[in-house]
Amino acid sequence: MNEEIIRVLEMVKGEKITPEEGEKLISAITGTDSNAIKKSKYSMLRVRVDVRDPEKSEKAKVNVNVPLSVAKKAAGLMHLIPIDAKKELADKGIDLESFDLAELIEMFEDGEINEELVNVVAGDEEKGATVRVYVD
Amino acid sequence: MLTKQSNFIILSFRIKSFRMPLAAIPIRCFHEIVEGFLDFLSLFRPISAKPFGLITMAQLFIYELQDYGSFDFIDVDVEDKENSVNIKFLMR
Repeated sequence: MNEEIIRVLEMVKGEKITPEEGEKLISAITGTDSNAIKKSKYSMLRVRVDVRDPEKSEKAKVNVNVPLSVAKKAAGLMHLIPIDAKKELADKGIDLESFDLAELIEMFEDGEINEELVNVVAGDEEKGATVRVYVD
Repeated sequence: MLTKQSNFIILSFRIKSFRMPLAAIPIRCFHEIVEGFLDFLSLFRPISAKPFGLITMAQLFIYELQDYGSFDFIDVDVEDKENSVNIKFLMR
């Protein structure tokens, strides 16, 4: 264990400082802030696609669950998209440079956005498709 | 010691009612396989930064998935009149 932390713990033990003061000192030594450690409200990004066509007896269900921590890492891969592809998307009005996916995911984690990201229902309950993207 | 981490990548495949486990890979083996593969490739030619970066990113993803614990990553179920196919990618 770090020598400085041991010294702080000894000071707390010897009642030279209060436990709260000790905690602040340890936070300063280790560079961590206990208040900054917060539990995320949501942890999983879920994608649900459900397509059904009883006339053709066809049915497709896709469930993908991505932990938000992984999605945040994936957001870092945006820079791997080839420049040509980015240009092509920009021509179609989709500017990836101005879109901060990591920030969006952080907003999900913090619970700032608690609505469904996508909820598309086409057709009816018997025949059609449903696409849902949400966090929980 | 009990940990929350998942230890296996399980890939399974079902056609009609026949379920076939494709692979149950211990995650620590997965990393060894990937690193061994990179070492093997480097015997023949130097690995350029791009594929090396991609493989490293894939490893980081697996670490992140492992840290999350046990969950169903992908579950695809498709069926028509004659066939029914289900593919699962699970972390356990």
